[in-house]
Amino acid sequence: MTIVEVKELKKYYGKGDTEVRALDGVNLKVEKGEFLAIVGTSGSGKSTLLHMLGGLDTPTSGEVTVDEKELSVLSDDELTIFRRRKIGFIFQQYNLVPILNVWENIVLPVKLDGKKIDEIYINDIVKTLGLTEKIQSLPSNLSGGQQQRVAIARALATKPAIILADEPTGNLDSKTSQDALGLLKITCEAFHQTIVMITHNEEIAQLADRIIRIEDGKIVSGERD
Amino acid sequence: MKLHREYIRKYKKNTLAILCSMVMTIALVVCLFIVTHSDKNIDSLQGQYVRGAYDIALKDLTREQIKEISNDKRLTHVELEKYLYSGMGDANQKFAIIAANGEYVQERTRILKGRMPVNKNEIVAEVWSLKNLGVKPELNTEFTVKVSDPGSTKEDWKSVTYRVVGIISDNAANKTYGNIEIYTQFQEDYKDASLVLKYKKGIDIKKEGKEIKNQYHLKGKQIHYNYDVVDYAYYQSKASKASLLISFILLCVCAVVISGVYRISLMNRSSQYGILKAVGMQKRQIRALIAKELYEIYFLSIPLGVILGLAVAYSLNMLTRDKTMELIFWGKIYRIQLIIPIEEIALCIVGVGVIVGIIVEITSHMINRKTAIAIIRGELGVNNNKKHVFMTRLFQKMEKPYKAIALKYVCYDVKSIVFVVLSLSIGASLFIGLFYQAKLNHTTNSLQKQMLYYNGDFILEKFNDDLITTGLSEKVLEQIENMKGVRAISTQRALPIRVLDDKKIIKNQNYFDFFDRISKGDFPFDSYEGNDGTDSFYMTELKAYNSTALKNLHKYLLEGDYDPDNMKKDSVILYMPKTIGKNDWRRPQSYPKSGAYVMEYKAGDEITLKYRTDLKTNKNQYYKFTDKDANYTYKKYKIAAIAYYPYMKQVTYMANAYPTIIISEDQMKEIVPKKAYATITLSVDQSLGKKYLNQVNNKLISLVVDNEGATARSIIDQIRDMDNLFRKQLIYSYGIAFVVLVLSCINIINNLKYRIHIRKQEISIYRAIGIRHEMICKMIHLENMILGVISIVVTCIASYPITGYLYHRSQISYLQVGYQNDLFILGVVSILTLIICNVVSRIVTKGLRGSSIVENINTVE
Repeated sequence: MTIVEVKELKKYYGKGDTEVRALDGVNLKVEKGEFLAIVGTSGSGKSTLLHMLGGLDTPTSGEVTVDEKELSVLSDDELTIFRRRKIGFIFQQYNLVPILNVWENIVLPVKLDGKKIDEIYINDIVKTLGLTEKIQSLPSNLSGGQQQRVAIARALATKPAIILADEPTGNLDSKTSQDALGLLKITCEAFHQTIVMITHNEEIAQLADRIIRIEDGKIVSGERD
Repeated sequence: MKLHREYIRKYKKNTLAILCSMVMTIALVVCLFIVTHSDKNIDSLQGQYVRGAYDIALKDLTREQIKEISNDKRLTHVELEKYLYSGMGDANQKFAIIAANGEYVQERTRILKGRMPVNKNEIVAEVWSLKNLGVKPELNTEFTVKVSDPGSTKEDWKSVTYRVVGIISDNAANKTYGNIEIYTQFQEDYKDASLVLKYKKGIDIKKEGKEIKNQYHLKGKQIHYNYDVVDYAYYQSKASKASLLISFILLCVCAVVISGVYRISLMNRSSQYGILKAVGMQKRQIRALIAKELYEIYFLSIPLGVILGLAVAYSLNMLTRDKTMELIFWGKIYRIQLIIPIEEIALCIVGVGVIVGIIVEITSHMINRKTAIAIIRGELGVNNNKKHVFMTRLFQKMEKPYKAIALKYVCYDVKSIVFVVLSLSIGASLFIGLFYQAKLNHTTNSLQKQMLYYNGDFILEKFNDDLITTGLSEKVLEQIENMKGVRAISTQRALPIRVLDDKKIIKNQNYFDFFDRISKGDFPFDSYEGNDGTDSFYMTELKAYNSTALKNLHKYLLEGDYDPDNMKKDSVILYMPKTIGKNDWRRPQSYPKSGAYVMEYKAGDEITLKYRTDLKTNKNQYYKFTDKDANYTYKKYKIAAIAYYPYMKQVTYMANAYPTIIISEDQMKEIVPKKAYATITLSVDQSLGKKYLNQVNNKLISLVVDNEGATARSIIDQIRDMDNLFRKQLIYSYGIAFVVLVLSCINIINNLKYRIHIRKQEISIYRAIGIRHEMICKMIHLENMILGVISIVVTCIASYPITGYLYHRSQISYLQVGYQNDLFILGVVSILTLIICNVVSRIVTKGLRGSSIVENINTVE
């Protein structure tokens, strides 16, 4: 089942001589449960593509459909709610809420929906990610790797349709990167999540089920026929 | 390359914001100093206009002493006056003939027509005085009056003819107190003359007085200081200190404003300081960069701020200037100038410079202690607080997470909270202070009017109320009632009585002994209390008020009650004099509610009084208690109520010491059927115009001239002048309050904007993970309202010392008005604070919706 579909997606910045074509007609499909890596050099458009998939930014033209919902027809509030329920973000700089502890950061998206926290499920994630002992700690008291694990847990908490990871190991050393990615893969397999991860690191990309290469705003390889 | 100039030029918006905050600070300080000094000056001038503009008055000097003292080159004015005669007009009007030189006559008047008298049969006088004597107020009018030597106990009148050679403007004191005086030439007869002196500015008057006293071996009674003038210098220095203190507080407020504005501009380009550090700029160079930028703006703001401050002060002055209010000193109209205290203003401007220096130091320290990379990353304003956040359990308990986050954040960033709360509280407290000051001014104005019995527009009164059978007749009252536009008429009649003193009622003997001491020799009796062989008693008056006067009196009750339209036959109301404290002899200047009764009467007590059956109470025997052959009628009454203010004017000393007993006209009719009023006060519809009011004045004067020994005068101008002064003070207070409000709002907006600015990334994370814009706004709104509530609590606490200080500074305690914080203003300011927080929340969150999530969480490639 196709969980994400992108048709002729374009994102242009500026006009005339200063126009920058961050995405220049991208077509993409992602299957449910797939672990997709998008690889490209700096300025290739991979982050822009990820932001489009997550509704963090609006395209110049084209369509993005996530879980059978076309994002361009949604209002700002509908998009926000959609992001909350359907998309789990893992940022390069973790972007945890500094005043909330680990537990609170993880369950925040669930609480926003007013839903009852599935404590068994959350505890399971926490245990899998090895965060049990740090559950009451603030982000400032955690190492980079620990913070990234919290970010992963937060992304999983709402059982989203898709997890979007933006250079999740970009701020980690190699060992921690391996550990974090390993955990990401395990938890996603365990909870049947679809992951789209962007990276510039080929080695890390190898952990994915499929690799897409993007250059100058266009997919150059890896797109499924 | 001058990098600081580039910053000033490139970041125009920020530069303008900093410049505006400095300009407003300087303008506020300049305006405040000018306004408060000018205001105090006007206060003093008003007092001098009514009570005298001289410095020292000396009496019982010899001719040689007068000549010697007058030769002092430091004197600007030398006045000579002598009470020549007591006069009696055709209608028994009492007046004084004063021999005086031009300086004395024109101390607070000026010649409107004619000239000063040059021989002993020429006089100058005020128009209202001449009219009340039945004399045409025109030059060369001749009139004959009966005069006697002052202090003569014999009724030794002689007739003297005078000619009017000059008309002078109204003397405020004479008109206020109803003193008719006419002035003739001062002959070289210095016996019993007074020498009145006015020195140049800067002379220590008390020191001068002391030297004169020692040099000429004068007794204390021979020298009198004009405290309105003498103490003005003292109070001016006190006021200067108070202004400096207020300015210091204002500067603190402005320091918060300026630093808040600067902080925002710093955050907008903080990463650039990181880059400068990264490329090798040293700590002192960074400090110099910040200093140059800020001080250039500061030096530009000085002339702009001073000009703006002057402009606002002049505008306020124009707004408050009343063209009909005229102050006259030494024969000339005095133009009220603004006082510009240059030293104090310069000190405050330097103070702003010091504030700028402090901001430079703090900012450069903040930049220099962080690493270059941290600053580039935007961590300049970040508080790396590793302490555990409070209220973690709240998050679990609260259904709506935005509430918990809002509460958490309030406790998290304590430094920023303190800034916001401080600026809100200081602004609100200043506001409360200014409005409280306006309230004090209003109370002072009301009490002063009360003290002077300004209870109507016109007042007609007898010179003496020692005889109930004489006074303003019923015919006069009827004619007044028939005048167009007359609104309310209050009347009183007065019967001197003796109240039986069975010694059972406790009285303040210190107070009565003091009164007897000061009365000796001046009045035709030696004591207010005595024994006529039949009874022990004290002297006072039984007054009859009409129903209008009784209705007005009802507002001033301390205990008991009565029906103004239907007084019980045997009921009386007691006006009770008070002392400042129990067993004290000092009587308050005004008629306060507080204080101790001079006699321990209570509502419900009975009193017995007696009055001469033949009503002939204007004889010396009556006052000396030697009229043993006279018949007296006794009457018993019950005290229905006790009042702290008599409402109707005390005509003479008769009702001065002991409580006055007040009944209705109907009750008095049974004792003295024929009505002759001691006082009539009336209000007239002022919309009928000045011309008509003048006609009313002339008509009233013509009525009293035909009566037995009474005067009539308008007090409209006097009330208007007092109200104008009060209005002026109000405009100053509200003007400054408005500026404070604007500054506070700017400051609050800046501070709350700053709090949003440093959380841009955090807020974008919230949006990224699915918190709707509306919920983010609610969160920020809740935070700001919590800050508002904390500020209100701080303001409420701070309001007590602030209003307490203003209360003591105003000296209103001398008018026996107790301290009370104004809870109404407190309530209004509290609501205003919450409204401001509410409105500002909406302003600062407005820009959040359109902002890019991606840019703010720094994930742009």
